[in-house]
Amino acid sequence: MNKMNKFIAGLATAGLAFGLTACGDDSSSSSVAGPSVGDTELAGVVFDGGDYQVPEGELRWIDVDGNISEKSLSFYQDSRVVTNDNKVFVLEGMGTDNVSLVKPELIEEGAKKAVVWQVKFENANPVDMVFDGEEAWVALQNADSLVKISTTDGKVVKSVKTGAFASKGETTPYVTDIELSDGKLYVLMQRYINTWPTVYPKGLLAIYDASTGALQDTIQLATKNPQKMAFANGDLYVATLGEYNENNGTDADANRGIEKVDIKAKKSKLHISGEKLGAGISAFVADDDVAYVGVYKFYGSTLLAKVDLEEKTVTEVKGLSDIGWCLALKDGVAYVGDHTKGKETVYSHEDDKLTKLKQPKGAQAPYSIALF
Amino acid sequence: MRTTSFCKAACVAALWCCAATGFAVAHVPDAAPVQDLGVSEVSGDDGYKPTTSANYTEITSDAWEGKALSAADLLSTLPGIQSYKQGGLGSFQTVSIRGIAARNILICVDGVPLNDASGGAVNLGSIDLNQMEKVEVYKGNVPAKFGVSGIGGAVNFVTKNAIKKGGRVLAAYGNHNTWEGSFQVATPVTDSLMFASSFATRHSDNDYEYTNRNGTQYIDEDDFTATRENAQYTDVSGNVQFRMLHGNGYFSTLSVTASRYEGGNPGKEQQQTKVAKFVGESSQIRYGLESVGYFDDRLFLNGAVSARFDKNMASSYYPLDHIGYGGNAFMEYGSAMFKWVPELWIDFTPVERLKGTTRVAFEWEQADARGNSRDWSLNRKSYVGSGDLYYHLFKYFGLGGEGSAQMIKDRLDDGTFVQATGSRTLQKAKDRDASFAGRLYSRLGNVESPLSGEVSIGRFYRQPALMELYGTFPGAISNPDLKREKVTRFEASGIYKFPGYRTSFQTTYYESHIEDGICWLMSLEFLRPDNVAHALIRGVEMELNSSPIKLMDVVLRATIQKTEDRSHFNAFDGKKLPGEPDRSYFAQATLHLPLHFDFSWASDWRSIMYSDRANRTEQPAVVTHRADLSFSPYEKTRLTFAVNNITDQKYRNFYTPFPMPGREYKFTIIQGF
Repeated sequence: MNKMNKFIAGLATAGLAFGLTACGDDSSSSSVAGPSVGDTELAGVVFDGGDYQVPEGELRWIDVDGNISEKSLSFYQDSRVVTNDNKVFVLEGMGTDNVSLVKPELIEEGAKKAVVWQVKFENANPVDMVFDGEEAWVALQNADSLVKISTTDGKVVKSVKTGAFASKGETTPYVTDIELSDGKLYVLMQRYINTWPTVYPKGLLAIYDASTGALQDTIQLATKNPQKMAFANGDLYVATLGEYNENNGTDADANRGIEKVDIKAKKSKLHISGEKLGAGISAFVADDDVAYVGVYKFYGSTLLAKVDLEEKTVTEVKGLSDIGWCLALKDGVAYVGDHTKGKETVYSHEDDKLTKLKQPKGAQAPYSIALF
Repeated sequence: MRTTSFCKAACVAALWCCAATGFAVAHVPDAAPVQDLGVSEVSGDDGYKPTTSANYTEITSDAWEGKALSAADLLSTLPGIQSYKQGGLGSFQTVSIRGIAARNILICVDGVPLNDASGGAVNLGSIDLNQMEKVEVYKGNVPAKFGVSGIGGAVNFVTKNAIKKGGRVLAAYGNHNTWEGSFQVATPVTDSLMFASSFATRHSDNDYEYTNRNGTQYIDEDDFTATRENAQYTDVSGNVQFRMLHGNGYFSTLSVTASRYEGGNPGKEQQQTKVAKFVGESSQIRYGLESVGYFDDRLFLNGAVSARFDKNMASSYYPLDHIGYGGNAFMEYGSAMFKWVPELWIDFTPVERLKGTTRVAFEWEQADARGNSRDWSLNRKSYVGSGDLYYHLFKYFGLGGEGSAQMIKDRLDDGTFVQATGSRTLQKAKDRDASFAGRLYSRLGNVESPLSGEVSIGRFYRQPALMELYGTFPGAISNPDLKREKVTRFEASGIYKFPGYRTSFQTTYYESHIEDGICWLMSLEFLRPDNVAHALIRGVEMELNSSPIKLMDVVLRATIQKTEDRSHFNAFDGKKLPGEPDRSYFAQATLHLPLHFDFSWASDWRSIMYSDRANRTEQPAVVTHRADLSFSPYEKTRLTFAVNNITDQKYRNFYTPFPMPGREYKFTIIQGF
């Protein structure tokens, strides 16, 4: 398979998820790509955030040939993007607090047409969504509740209080990630205390019934400052950053890393420690036994590593230096954004090969990626 | 947590004042008459004022009294200056000069810098022009008397002083319940001692209406008309000054100023706060001594000691305000800063046509935590030597140079400073290299010649501020390895005075190469300053100042410039610098009408500009107008009605959602005595 075919193949499964057919010249990738923009099929979307002085971020998209779009839609800086079926959801963060539904097929006609609905969650800081049919749970980091919305119109259909898990002096448990599996909603809570400087107690995992919103269980995490979680081979893994050190970085020690949650035993323990990973984890995606992590060494240095969750081996992916939280994975192909000055763009990683996607001139540094 | 009471500070300052005055009075050997050095009058514009320098402008109170102009509004009427405002009276306001960002502009009151350890731009919104006698604007350089260092020029606000007997009362009222009051008096105490005092206060409810887009830019159905809340602002300031002529001909000046401002922090349009506010308190005491001329007035000695205290606090309560994180405690953060500056300078003219100034100064700056933050304490000692020398070689040509050397020693209290990520300990602050700045210039023509000009090239720097190096803003981490910001500047200017036509024209070409500019960048959830900004600025300023007939004064100003980011970031490289339009024009006509009426109309226009480095946040071209009508029924009485922003421009980009007040009215009465 030539380079382009590999790339398309890498995206094929993402495309398969949406049942679209497509454009590979190899039968192994006969079903590829996601929704289309005109005649161009989309492989993914990337949300570009900027620096502190740029309040306006931009939503761009990647076609199956790996081209990042020249056009873009405006959203607030450092928003997150989530995909489901042929839909794109943009979550604008603290101070803006919107969830928007974007129709990819209208994306080149401008945001006024492409944005189907935009719903404000007052001061709630939406950070993640998981989908349950035509409805979706939304994680609200700065609110004392989770909400379930209709993806048709964005209206809230259910609300679940989480404020009881807030640390003393706080109004919110700071939910950072949610996952849906087997009818259960897994809610990852940082529970930090926002004194100056911030204090981090151990993180907490709460489990709710996804249809009723009833609380079913809580599991205390082994380490502090959880960032992301993911199911892989039926197991739930949680990545933690831990406390910061004096150099604003995180240490390579056993106070952080990847935890494996034993849901039945209601216990979580460190599966791969920060000693092996090299530092705490900012970004984490997993599929089967393969995980990709962002290893946060210090400010401006978040490296990419590939992790075998079964073998507990860690391999650094060379060539990237500041990926932040910008990471997505589908069927063995990882997409990652790098903030490094002058090299800001998106890369794909497959079969130990890093491929650089061409970033249009003037595009901002990538912040969040989602794949179809 | 340590606290510093504003009252205590003011009392200490007052005691210093009294003690020093007593000392000065007790040591007057021979009383001598007070010199009358002139002061601006309460009359209207006095007509044609020929330009003398394209790089220096002196704005007198005629330009702002009664006209509803803030300090930033006033300064941005000059070519090459752009202003930024976040709202109405008292809101955060800054200016940039010739493309150099606001935080690199040295802002002084009576020569004492207001720029502080935070490294941020000085908020001009809290400066009450009613306290000021004049404003000195240095666009090309920071003069030797202010230390030469600094990369973007200087603005010095000069308070009303104890020079000429008299006084005045000002009262003003405008929409949004905006009112101002000020009182100044200057009177001789003895034949050799002059006393002056002033008091001023301002207030606005800032409760203007605006369209709230509810934070959803693509949905118009949820937009609604709202009234700005929690935006009220009040400030109070006072000044006491004694000026004494000693028997040996020396002048002593002792001044004490104190001010307090307090305002709501209303937040952005989609994030209306309830109780969030900011409070600032400052006091300043300065004693200056000016000698008589020695060696046939070839040498003048001057000295001064200044002490300044500033405390700035911001507070919010999350359950009501939703600013910051989700804590349910009342959050208060801020700092107290103390600055002490003894300085000596000499003005000398050793031989004919050669003149210069030499200054040595020591500056001690202390910054301490206030509010909920863990304690921190930082201090900086600066040793500055500066000077300038100008030799008028020929009748129409002279050469000059100015330079400075600065040594800095920083100190961390207990070696610890606070970061968003936790406390950090360093054994000691990083050593910083000595900095040298300099400028060479040549002047063509002289005061009498119709054509004059100046060409200069200089290399300037700005040392990183204490808090950029060592802490301590919420959500931010500092960078002790920051380097100096540097700029190489070239300027060429010419002035032509049309003989007999009461008209002058001036133009300046300016070019600045900025290196290692400090920007705050975000990675993960933290901000950190870094030396990443590189930029090239080129521009031309023009000004025509004319009083073709006694009944009319006209000022036309234009700025045409190109600013370019050269930081090599993909998103920024080649883009325009934030807040810098390619073109801006200003026109003002004043008619001196019969029956003691004066009418003035001013219009300004600027081209499209962007608020951000990526040039995504567009601020479209805009034209604004203002007018004022004054009536002076008596020699020392003036009534003025002013309308600002006549066309009610309120546009704001969705990503810079600070509602603006729109059209403003103001009625002012000034009574001199």
